Amino acid sequence: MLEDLPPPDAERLKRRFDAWREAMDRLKSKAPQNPEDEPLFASELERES
Amino acid sequence: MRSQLDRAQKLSELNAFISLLPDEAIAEARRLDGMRRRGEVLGPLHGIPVTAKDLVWSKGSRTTSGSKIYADFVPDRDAPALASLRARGAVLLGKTNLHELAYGVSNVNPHYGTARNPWDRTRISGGSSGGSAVALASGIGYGSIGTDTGGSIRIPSSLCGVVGLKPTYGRVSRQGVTPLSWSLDHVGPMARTVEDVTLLYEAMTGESDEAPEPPKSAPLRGLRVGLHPRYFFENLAPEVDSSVRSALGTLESLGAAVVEIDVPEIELQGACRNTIAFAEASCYHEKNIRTRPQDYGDDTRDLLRLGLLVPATDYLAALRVRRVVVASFRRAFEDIDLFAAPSTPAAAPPIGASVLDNGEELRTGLLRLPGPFNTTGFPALSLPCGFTGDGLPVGLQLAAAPRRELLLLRVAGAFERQSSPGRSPAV
Repeated sequence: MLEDLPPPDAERLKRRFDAWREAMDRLKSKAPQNPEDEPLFASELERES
Repeated sequence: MRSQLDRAQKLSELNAFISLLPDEAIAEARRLDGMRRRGEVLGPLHGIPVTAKDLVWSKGSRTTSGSKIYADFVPDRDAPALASLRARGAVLLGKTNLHELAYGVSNVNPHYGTARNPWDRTRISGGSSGGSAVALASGIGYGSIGTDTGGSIRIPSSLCGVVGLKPTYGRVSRQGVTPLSWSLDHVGPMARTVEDVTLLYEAMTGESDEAPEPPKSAPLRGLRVGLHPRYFFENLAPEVDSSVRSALGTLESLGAAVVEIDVPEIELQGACRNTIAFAEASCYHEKNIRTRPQDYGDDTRDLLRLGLLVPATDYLAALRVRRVVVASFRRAFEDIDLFAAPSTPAAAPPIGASVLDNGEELRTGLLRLPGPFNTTGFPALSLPCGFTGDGLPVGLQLAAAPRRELLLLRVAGAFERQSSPGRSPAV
């Protein structure tokens, strides 16, 4: 997608993407590995409501 | 009703409204007056003027979502949140301004104008429910329906000196409310006082407070209020820090015990929430961002394009991490009843500023303190707790475990009675 955008838009988007990518890579190392028996967040809280 | 509509028109340069509904409001007020004369009263909201953020669908009147894309959208039904207020006699005065598609915190809207802060018109209202907060702070309407995906009720409430409640996720229906990020979106009430927010919350949910009246001398005795120094009290503008610490002293004077608490996984929540919001928002708006990019403001277009670049694997990893964050907050609430924190790390910045008084980038800074309670879905509210030397409001944020909204409102009410700043902007 970046190559289809005008240069200022592409540069701005790339800066934002790189910042997000860096934060996400740090986050992924904390993701639990066996969550499959956990209920989904949304349905769980909505049930409580 | 006419005086409220006149006031809204007189203060039109604040850009609180996208649409005023004078004919509909007057007709409805007349109908309700007739009912009252016959002895028929629908409840405590009978004849009370209210407003709704313009992404809350209103039957027969346009609902723009603050966007050019939906400029001519006229819903064929009310959102249940609005219908519940109307059923109890509330009268809709108009639809309030918001950050485009609720996707931002400044309420600088390229299509419908910048909502201006009534305490200083050169400053932002905060967003995305900025028009609702501006209307309330200016004395227009007694309540409003806002939405909150990363702080969008609490941020403008804090910056404009009003009260806003983000209930537990799902507690107030999101039906008939244009989504931003469906697993982070919350619908909730805003008003000038805690008592009015409570009335609106009760009308929206059917829940009411039947707890016995607390003792007058120490109404919060036995309550444990958690303070998280590392995350919520670092890098605050000095006047925010002092106002909120003074508010903690007030809670102690009312009988509460303030204790320090840690939530080890709290640092994860920002990237987690961003990833979920980016992916969900771009999923909902995908067709339009691909085919009509020129119809979005620059910041909204950038964020929607960014969301198209988020891989499904990262979205799913963020959902997994959210479970870790939720579990961490649940453990914290085993030791405390409430969290207390600032709502925002600084007061309202000037329109066009890219950083806050504490040096943080605008968007990151304003989302940092309210955001954790969107990631978790736990209820949180903002209420005024003081002013800066420039006369700008400062907000105190209180948060609780799921479904403890009434506790939040009771504590906020006790605080307000003890310390109400009791000022209005000179509009």
